[in-house]
Amino acid sequence: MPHSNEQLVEWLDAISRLDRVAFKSLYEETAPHLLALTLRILKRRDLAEEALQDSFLKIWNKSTDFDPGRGHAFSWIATIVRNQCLDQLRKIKRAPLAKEELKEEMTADTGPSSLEKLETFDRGRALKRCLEELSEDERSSILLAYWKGLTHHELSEVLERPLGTVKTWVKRGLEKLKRCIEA
Amino acid sequence: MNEEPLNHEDPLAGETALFSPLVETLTPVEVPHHIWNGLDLRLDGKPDDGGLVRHFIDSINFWKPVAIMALAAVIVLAFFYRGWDRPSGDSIPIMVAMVGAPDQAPQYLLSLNKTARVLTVKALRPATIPPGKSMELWMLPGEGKPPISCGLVPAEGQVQMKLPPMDDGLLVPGKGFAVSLEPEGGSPTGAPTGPVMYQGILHQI
Repeated sequence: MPHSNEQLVEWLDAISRLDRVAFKSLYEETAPHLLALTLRILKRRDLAEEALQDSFLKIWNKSTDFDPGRGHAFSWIATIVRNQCLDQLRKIKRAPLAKEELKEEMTADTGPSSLEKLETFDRGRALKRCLEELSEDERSSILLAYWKGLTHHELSEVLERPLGTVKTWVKRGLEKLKRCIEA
Repeated sequence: MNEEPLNHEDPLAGETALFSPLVETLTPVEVPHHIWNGLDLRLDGKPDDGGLVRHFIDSINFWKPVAIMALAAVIVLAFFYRGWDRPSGDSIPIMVAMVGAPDQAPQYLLSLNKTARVLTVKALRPATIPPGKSMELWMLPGEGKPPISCGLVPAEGQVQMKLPPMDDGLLVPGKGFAVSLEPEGGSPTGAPTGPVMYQGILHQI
């Protein structure tokens, strides 16, 4: 269920004035999706819960940084949470990813069915349309980087392609995507 | 687009906001209560102002489950206490606390021998302690004073710990205890740094 930007903006504004009731409301509204995100990236329940709690502490502390004129509130929140997950991955020094396991998951993360749910809301439809304009290599490398928090080097290993090639896919894909979404 | 801190290892650094609709397609996951409770405590958790303690004691979220656990403590103790490490001599004052997460069965039973200043911590069921982490027990003096570390608690079994030096007046019914998740070996700062996993208050029996 997409979150109402107006409501999230209102809560973030109240949180910037240290309104704990608004903070609780924002938490209750978004935490279930964000826990799904931390679980998706970190896989381990304990790490995912810790990342979620740390993320909300950051949301509380950084709410004054949010500028509603410069983007969707949920995008700002989800970015904080994903960054927290990447910090967590770095902290625990994730073991080298098992290629076979990753390949199995790649289908779920980057295949057409993973994008179907985007059809149900406006921002989702725009992202899906633009992702579909990318080449398969560009789309797969970008989605793997998003869902798995992979670095260029890890992408290169998993996709079994030279580092330079993977970097080009990601860079070119991101440029196309931004142009398409902003159009 | 709002600025985001750049993670230079992230190929999508600076652009991840583009993808947030993907997160909204995920199936929501029920969030356990202890995450909010710990967060609520950490909001005031600056060790320099004692906020953690003040908020802990003031928090409705704290007292509600604690009251339920207190009742559970009395019942459970009837079963546990008779055969468990009771010091010889019935006159020795013993206080107990049932420590746990609000939405779960109690995790630890604490028994305080005030005379010997020994605290016994018994795991009522195996606790999950992530690799590279430890669980640390804190006594919460209240009145704006910072938490006092009592030591690390085990995932299972029981340990006895000598209480750190503290005023006798703190060892009275109604004082709170909390267990936080810390880096392996315990908090590096002397104050809780990780999420609060369990909590409970002291009762005279």
